[in-house]
Amino acid sequence: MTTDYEVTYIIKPSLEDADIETRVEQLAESIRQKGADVGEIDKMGRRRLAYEIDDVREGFYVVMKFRSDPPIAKELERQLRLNEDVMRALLINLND
Amino acid sequence: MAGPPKKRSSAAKKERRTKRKVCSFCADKLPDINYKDVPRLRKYVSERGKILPRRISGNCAKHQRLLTVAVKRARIIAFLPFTSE
Repeated sequence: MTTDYEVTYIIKPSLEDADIETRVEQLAESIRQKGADVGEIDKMGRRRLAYEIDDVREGFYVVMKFRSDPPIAKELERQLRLNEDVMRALLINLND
Repeated sequence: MAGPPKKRSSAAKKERRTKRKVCSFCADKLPDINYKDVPRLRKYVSERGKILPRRISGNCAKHQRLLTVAVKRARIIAFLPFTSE
């Protein structure tokens, strides 16, 4: 049973663009290996935050769509929360 | 004798209040209310960042429900403030 998901996360703006690029790719690859079908990855880029997070007012937004079994999505969310470079993550089920 | 005029005035007041706003989401026929559509969501929160009630926004119940979810998601990801000032 696969589900469509969309995950939005914010990467620390202090990182170099190239580093951000690799990190985004790593995250996509990590779920691809587990059998997720990664769709569109939209790098919205640096945006001003509506409120301060960890003394920063800006962040690099990434939106990734993918299809997988629920445990894979859950694990990705957990990894994002543990990741020091990710300031915020929001996982959304597109099917409901 | 004092009864009828009073009644009429209260009825007139009521009529003025029942100017029904049309739900802007119904009018635009969007498939969903997206939490990334910040400019649109902005219109439905107060200056303080609170979600406007239906009686002010004029949204239908269904869209107001979807809207609250979208605003809350937008807050999590810092598109909208939880509070301002």
